[in-house]
Amino acid sequence: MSKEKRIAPAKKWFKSKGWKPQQFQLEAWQAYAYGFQGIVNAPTGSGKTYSMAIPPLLEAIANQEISPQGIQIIWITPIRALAKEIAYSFSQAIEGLNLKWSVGVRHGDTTSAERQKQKRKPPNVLITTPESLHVLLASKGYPKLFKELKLFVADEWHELMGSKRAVQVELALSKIRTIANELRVWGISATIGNLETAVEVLLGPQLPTKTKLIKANIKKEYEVVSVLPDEIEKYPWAGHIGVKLLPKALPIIEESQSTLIFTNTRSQSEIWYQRLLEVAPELAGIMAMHHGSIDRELRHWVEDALHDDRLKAVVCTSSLDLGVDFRPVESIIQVGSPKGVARFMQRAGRSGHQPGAVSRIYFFPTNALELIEGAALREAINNQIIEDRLPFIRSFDVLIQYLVTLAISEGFNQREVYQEITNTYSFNSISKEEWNWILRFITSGGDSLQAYDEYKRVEVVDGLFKVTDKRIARRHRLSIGTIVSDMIMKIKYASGGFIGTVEEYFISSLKIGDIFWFAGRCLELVRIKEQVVEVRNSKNQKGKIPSWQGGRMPLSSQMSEVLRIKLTQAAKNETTDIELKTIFPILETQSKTSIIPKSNEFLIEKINTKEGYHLYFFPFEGRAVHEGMASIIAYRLSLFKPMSFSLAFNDYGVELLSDQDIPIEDAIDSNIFSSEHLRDDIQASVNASEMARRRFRDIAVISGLIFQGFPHASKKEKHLQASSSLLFNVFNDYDKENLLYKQAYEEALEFQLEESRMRQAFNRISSQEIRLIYPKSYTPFSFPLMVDRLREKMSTEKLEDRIKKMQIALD
Amino acid sequence: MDFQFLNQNLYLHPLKGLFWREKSLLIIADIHLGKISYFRKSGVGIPSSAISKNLENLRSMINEMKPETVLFLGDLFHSHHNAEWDSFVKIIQEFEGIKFQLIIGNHDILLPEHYKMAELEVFYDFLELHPFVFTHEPDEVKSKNYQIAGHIHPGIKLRGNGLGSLVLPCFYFGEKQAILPAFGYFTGLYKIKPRKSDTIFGVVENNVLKLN
Repeated sequence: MSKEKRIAPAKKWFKSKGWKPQQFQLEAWQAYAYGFQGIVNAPTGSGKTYSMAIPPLLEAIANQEISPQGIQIIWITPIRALAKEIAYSFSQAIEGLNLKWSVGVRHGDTTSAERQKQKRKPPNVLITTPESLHVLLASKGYPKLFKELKLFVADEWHELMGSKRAVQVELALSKIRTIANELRVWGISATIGNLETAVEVLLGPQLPTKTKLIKANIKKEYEVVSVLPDEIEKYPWAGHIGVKLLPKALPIIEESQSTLIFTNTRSQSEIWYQRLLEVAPELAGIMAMHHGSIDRELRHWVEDALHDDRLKAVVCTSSLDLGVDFRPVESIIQVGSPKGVARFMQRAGRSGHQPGAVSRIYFFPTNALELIEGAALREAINNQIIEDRLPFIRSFDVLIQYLVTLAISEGFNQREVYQEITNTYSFNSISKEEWNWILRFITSGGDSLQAYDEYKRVEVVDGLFKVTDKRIARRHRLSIGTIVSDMIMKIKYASGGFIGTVEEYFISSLKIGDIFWFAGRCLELVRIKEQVVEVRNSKNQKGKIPSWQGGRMPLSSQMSEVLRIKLTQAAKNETTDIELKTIFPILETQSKTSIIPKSNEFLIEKINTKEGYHLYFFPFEGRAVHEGMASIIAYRLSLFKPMSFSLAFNDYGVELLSDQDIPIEDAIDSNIFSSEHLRDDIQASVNASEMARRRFRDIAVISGLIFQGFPHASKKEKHLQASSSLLFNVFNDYDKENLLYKQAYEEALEFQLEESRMRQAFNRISSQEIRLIYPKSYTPFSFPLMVDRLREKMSTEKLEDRIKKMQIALD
Repeated sequence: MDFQFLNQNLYLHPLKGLFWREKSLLIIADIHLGKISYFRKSGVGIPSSAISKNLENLRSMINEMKPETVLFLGDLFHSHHNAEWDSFVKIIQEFEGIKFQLIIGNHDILLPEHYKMAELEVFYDFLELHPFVFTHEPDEVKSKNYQIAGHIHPGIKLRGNGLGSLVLPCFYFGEKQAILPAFGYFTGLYKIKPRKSDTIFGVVENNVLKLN
């Protein structure tokens, strides 16, 4: 049968539905038929599912496999909520093409009855998550399960790629490829800056000979509308909640069928929800809230209600970035800068699902300067400047988890598995020494000598690495996954009914009887029982709003670049952007009291106030990079004379505050912004071990050093509780060569400090002309830094001397 | 650091023990011996070289203070028996003439035979030695004496103007009771919230500092 004839049934079925195959779908069908593997790059809502769901079915028709045995297709999705929709699409296609394939969904919520059924008779199409895929690898007889597999699809690959879940997919594939001989692997991805890398991560650095990157030429229209304050002179220079503009959201909500209001943090969404209800009480009952700490069932209810057009508005966070299409959603509001182009486009794309419809997104700045980011976002979208997703490499924690997974099911031969994993992107560079260390870690707890003691996890039985202890196996099965939850407490009504979760430290700041807002409700704390916070509804309307850690994202490097271009345009008075024109009075103040730096200039401002001696500098590189830069510059300055600094940073710049005059003039002369000795200076200044300690928590959980626990832990399990910080101390004292300990440092440098980006920033600054200005007082640029409460300290004094100056904290 | 309290001469040792000079009594709370081995046996790869730390500290503190009696204030051993117990027994046998006592803590689930073979004198509730009463947990005891307990693993949070914050293990002396820091190497800290009238000593590196 010719390949052209092969796709005829699909064309016919599409026609019967009144659809026409799109160019990229046809390309994908062809490519699959010719044995290619690769990535389909298509946006959500473009028919991307059928680009890959159809071709294996067509092949089955050609081969007369009307109802085959065993799993033919594995479809990985990062979110459980999408699985149902994909299963539905598959069922439709299978029916339309007169096949009798079975479709099954398996993820964390799947009932054990359903799992048993799947075990007895595996579905032909299995839609699952990376975690559940590994759970399958942890069950005996998995090779038989994957034997007939023809196609493996990683959906929303762009989303997976920036997380350790991608490493899980890579590892699972490295094994499955050796079982299923005819396997073809495809990814489906939205547009990201490094799509070529995305292909390599999925297929391995030694790419198969037939690979393809298929791009859907669907130009989606985006319209970015910045909402402008009426009187810019009165609009605050600092802040990030943005409720001042909130009344302007009301007409948008009213005129749209349904509106999603994206905020950047969970606290912000609680505040916006509450304030919207205050100014528009008529929204009660038709407005909801959605964020990651709200109970899953409640979230599902919100999603269903959105889908069924029962809600006029939903205040949400990134929790709704992904997920099923909500057709009734007509408008998107973004409160505060999203800090990244891809995130912004993703959110804009949640509206206007009708073909050809324009996705309109309203940008609500939370302070005056943030309006520049509105202009930058529009420019970036128009020029298709989109962020890269940085893949995780050498994630030894995930590798260790994977090896134990294999050890509890079939056991593994270390030579074979070494071969397999060195073909993955993540572990391509693993050395034989590192591999041996890992084997030692899982068999003898990392000791070089075969220890006399009773360490037990994986044993070598007849050349196979195996777990024989049932308790260890059981604990491991419950720990499979790379998503580590925070130290959280459940919130529950005293009368019953689960509402959601908050971080422990927020609850510890409350007393019995205190009032707080959560999930849009005003709650009174009744009692705390172990990990459960019991509450009741309160009529009192004044309460605290919980804060969750790690909400705000730093400005992406792409956004930073466009932002600097916009500033240069403003400095040269060459702008046509409404946003920049609006804040013209503020920019004028900036240029009168200081300057607006052009792209070849680097601005430093130095002022004295009652508070002390301030130094501001503005790399416009995002908060993460600024955090590291602030410490390094403070450290380098303190080499001129011993001094202590208080540091503050935001997405635009850095403030150093000291009680002594800061010798910046001398420092500039000795090249303080050089990228030379950067690594050494990071080690000496940045509290790298604190950052690594924070990263180590996830690593310890993923690698099985910390067990997050069963619902009803026995005494034996309770004796196994330890904090990651305690473990980190032991490695720090006794085993600095531990690969997991080292990994924590690598991750801190790469993902927290963004070392490579920081290096580039230093290099850029070195080539710029330094403009040191002495304004009389705060400028529009420096003011937000002065009021920002995110402060760090940097001191060259001894610990004991420091302690003598410190006081006992009384909360 | 020396500390006069209720007319008694106490010495707060930076290895986190309390020495009562009048009675030549060395008091040690919450060593949690065997914890690292217990973790290792359950497949948690903590470096086994860290195991010896507790016993090294114990030996060096006894050698320095030369007490007549050592009182363990509970949670001497973390869980079920393992080889760390045998190493511990060997060490206390080195100190001939020193009496070793234990007040049973919630973690001490070894069999009575173990304590017997180690020649440990065991108390199940408390031990009165005027003007003090010793217990593991700092809950109420019917005694006129001032209570000294462990169990909590107290830590104190310090905050400095412009200097960040940090948490130190501490000795706590309150109105009715004192709580000793955990001696054990692989044990965590619980942040306490003291009152103004309390006296707190923090342990910093090799020093004990009075903090208020």
